[in-house]
Amino acid sequence: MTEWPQIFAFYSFKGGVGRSMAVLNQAYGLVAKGRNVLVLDMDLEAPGLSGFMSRQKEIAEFARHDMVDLLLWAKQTAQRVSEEAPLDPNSLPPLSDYTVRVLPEKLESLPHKSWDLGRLDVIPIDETRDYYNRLSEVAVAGMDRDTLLRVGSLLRSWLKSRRIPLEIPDYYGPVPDEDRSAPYDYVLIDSRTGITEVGGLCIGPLSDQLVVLCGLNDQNIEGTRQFLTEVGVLKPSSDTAVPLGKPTLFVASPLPIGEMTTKSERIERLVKALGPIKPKLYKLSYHPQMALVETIFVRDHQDEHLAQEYRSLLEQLLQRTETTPDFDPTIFFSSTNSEKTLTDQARKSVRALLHSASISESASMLFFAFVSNSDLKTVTDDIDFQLMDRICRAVASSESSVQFGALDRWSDVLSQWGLRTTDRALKARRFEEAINQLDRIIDSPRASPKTRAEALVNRAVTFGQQGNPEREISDYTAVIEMPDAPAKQKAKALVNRAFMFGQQGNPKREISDYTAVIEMPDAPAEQKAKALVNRAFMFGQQGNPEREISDYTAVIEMPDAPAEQKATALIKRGETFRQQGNPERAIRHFTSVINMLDAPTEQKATALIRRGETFRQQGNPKRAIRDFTSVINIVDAPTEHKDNADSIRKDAYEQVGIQAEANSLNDRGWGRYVDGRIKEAIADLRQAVELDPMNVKALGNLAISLLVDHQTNDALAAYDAAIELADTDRLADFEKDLQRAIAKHGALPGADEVRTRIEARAATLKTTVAAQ
Amino acid sequence: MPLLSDIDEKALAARLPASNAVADNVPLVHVDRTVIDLIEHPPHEIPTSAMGSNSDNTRRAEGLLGLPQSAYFYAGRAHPKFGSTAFAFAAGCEDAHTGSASPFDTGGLLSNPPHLKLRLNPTDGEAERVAFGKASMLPLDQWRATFGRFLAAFFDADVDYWQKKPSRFDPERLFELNNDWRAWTFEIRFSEGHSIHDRAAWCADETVMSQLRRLDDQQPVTIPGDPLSVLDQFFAGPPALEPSGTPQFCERLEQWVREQIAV
Amino acid sequence: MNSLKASDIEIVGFNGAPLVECGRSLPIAKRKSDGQHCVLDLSRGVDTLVWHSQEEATSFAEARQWTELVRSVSIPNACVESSTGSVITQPMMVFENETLLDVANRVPRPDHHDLEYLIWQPLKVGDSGCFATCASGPAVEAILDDWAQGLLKRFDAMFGQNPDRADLKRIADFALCAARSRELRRKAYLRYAATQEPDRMKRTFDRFIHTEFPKENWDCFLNELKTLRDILKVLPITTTVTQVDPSGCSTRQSLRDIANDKPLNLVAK
Repeated sequence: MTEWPQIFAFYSFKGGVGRSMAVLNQAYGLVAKGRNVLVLDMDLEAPGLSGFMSRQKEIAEFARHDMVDLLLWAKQTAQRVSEEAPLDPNSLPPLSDYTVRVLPEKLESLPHKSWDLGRLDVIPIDETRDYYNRLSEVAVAGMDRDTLLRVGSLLRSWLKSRRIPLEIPDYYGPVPDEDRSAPYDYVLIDSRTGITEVGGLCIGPLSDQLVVLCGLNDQNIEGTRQFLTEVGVLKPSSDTAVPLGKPTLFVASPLPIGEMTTKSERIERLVKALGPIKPKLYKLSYHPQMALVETIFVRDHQDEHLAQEYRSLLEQLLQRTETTPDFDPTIFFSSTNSEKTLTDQARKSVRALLHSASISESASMLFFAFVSNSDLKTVTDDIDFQLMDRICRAVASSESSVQFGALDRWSDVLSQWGLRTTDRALKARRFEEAINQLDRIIDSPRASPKTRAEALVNRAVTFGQQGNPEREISDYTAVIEMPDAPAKQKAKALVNRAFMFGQQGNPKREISDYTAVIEMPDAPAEQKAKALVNRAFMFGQQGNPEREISDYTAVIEMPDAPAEQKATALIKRGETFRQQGNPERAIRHFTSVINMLDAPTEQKATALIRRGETFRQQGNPKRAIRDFTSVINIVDAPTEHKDNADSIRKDAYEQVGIQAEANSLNDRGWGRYVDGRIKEAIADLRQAVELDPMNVKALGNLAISLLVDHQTNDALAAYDAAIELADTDRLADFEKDLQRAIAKHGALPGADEVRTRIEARAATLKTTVAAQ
Repeated sequence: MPLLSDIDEKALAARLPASNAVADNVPLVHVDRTVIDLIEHPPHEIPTSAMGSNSDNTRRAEGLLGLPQSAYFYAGRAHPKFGSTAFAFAAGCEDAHTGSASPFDTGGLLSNPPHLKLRLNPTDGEAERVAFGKASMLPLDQWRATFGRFLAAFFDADVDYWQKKPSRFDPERLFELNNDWRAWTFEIRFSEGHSIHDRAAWCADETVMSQLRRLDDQQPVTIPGDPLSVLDQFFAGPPALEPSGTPQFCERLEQWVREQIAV
Repeated sequence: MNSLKASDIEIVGFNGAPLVECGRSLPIAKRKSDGQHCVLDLSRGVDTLVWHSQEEATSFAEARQWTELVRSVSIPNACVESSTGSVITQPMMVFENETLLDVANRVPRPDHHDLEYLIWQPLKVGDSGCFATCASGPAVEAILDDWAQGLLKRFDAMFGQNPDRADLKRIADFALCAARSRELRRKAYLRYAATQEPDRMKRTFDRFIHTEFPKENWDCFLNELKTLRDILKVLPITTTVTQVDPSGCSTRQSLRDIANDKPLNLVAK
């Protein structure tokens, strides 16, 4: 496991081989890859790197202390501590006392793609401040082996323990402390040339890896070989050394450009002297620019061959240090728990992949696998939103073909995240950021009319979530009035705007917008269906049932209307029929929805409830109870529907109980009627009807009993109620009972009227059936 | 003077003795950016607008009203927007100066656009405001008497000057139209700077106190017998009001002012 | 009496300027409906707030009487009555820069205090590296006190290491900028005084410590100072390692095989 920061010491036996500029070009190159880097100038007696940074105004000023002071602290402290009595970490000097930040404007022109630039700090040497006296006091040259070891170990501990704050977007909400600061990723040390204690300090326990630059003349080659052998980087053998120990990159520098025999021979000689070099010997070519003015090639001359060579070296440096985790998209599908959230392991994998995104293109893959496929409504943890935000940020910052898709999805992520929090400030910031991403699409000259229209609609929706209806409507209007906006977006904008007008109590404009969609030739079926359903509802509100039913019918008959709208239309039309006193037709509508394979669960549940209610009204609580029970048993039915069904079912159970009693009274009453105990029969039957006013049998029996008892008016009233509820068979029963009564008791006043009413109702029912 | 026209003298008379006592003793208050600048740079005085510490509005008003470049004080009131350090100078400090006073903030009267609202005849234009400003000016040796009458006439209690709007309105509707108390705070102007060492009290926010500590640390210790440094002189005067350093330094100083005049 | 609705205003800065490394100040509020600004001091009631135009506010910021945030923040929920949405307790601003946090071992800056989420915004004053946030008064005091504690801990750890006096004084001075509670301020003053040259100590006591702690007596203070110095010098326990006389070692000998030396663990975990 890599221990951060990784400390690289850059060493060369001789000066003038381009070591300091190699350090800086690597540092800037790492920053361009999003790494946080610290550079140390330890070339104490010839601080070329510090001079360059100061002269070129890469840094504005020096800190309170510099590298010399840091060494002095390390030296003085090393004398007082041991492994048995270690130093209190609270007394380690603060980073800010020594480091100077490279000005952000100096980094902006570095080439960077899908990620933010890293941070570049330097601990330089300040030659303007009593330099020579301080250098004498440090006296590295006088340090013995043990002191070098201690000083190097202390410096290493100090570097490894420093943490810098990470810039976290202010809309993230609370982030664990360990995620808001981090150690540097890399520390690059510009060491001293020659055989020196400073060189030994850098090459010793202080560093994790080495980069050794070597010229091609014999002095360089031999001197480098000898030194590296003595310090233990190379193992001596007969005439060549063999690398061992500390991981080391070898760089031949500077090399003349072009092929030439001498150059090849010298390179061969260098390779032989240093032993087998893995993976290869890197090369930095001579460039005339460097001879005249030292330069950050990777920033200022990106197309030059030397810049390419620096980049090549950088890639190797990164590959040696950072292992790119294998990307397995299935972690998003198999690594979730039952609540469908990412496990900690999966989150770690994502973080690791994001960290490596600058050297691979895994950000795009992460985006498609994780972000674009996630159902945001199920995401609840801030940590997951933060990861998605980071992924979207990485993908959206480059002008790639997926940029707009990433921006759109990013906006979605931010909106959903905003909806999750109750903190007003966080909510406001997240919505603001969501709108910012959509602004980037809308304002981009590369956005097609379709893309722009989609973004406007999404922005309108976000304004709605933000509670800003004026801007919401304004954006919908912008799409509606856009000449080249596709029909799909226009239709959606019209439907949504209509809804907003409805919210604002402007039914005229609401209906007008729905009508515009309905009459739009190329509007998608989904929007047309929505518009029809909503317009129908409005007509219903306005007391215009004909137009209401007409619109619902249009949806039902639309071949490509989405199931959701069809189901809604069927339910609504069914409700209308029920209100119109046509429960059979209503039940048929509700049944259609229940049996519709692709009807959404919510609509099915609604249809079951409506049908159950209708059954209850018809005096059939048992069927009602079955329907309500079905709703309760649907696993993913909305809770609201389940609660409603449960409540009405309780009433239905009560009704069943009452019905049983009413039936019992009805049976007894009829028995008494047949026995000729008319008055008693009437008493029983009145009670039955009072208990269950929908009991058509009891009503009919009461009616004939009253007729026989010559209570004609009451009888006619009872017949009216019974006939209203009766079906054809029941009407036939009434007719038979009437005939028997007349046969038994003779002519009965009101009997003709009763017969007329029965026949009229039968005819009506016949007509209705025929019409259906 | 427009403010005190049409006043019921009998009603005024009942309150006048108490109000006059307040007016006679109310300290003058100046809020500045930081005491450090005043200590570090001679002449160590509350500066006039010639020193560049005042806003463009101030200089504009001076020009239009024909006033010399002045050092500005309020009668008993401190506003944080003027800075981080508030000074109070005892009544009578104006005796050594030339200058004038006004019953409102002249900068607000004549800023562009004006911050103080009022209704002038025939129109509320700049010329009318300048005329109003000039007509409202008070001599330096008489402003306290006018201030006393003002307190008695326009407030139900003297302490209301610090806490509320005037309870009666003026013909120009200055008190009616503005909620900004600079509309009825007396402004006193000195044609010369005034020494910070003459202060009766002072208060500053925490940042200024930290800066003062750092300034003190940088200054060498004065050898006995040697002349006192400016910082020595400053510390020889009244210390900062407790608590030493507070974000509500203006409120604290006004509290001290009210304690001095027992309101 | 009028009330101030939190949804009507946003915090756009603070009174004064960030002249030291950390501190607190009154917020500058901007009313969304008409763009008027005020120093949000609720001690005398909402009715006494003085509102200034945008032009005035800009001039105050240019004159460094006010300091603006790059982006506004909301009034913290802790200062708002949830049922009415009115601001009922005084919000405060706290500002800091990275250097102070680093010295206090408090990197990164806190993103919440209790249940209050803190949104930090950079300041508009150039590249100050300063950030500020708005929180309730008690939260601001707690945050500052926490930084002070970190600073005092560093001071105590470094004292026994014979560091540069100026470095120690700087830490104590930072602690005085941060500390709000009387107890912490007293501790910070003791340490600040401990770093002073003897001839300055009395002056520091007279001018600052006695002003803030009037009941403090110079002699008692001096005794406390001596005790503190003795305590701090005892901590931490370290041994002086005998230096090896280098006169017998050549450079080459010192460097032999040094690349393969394992680092020593000289810092406690």
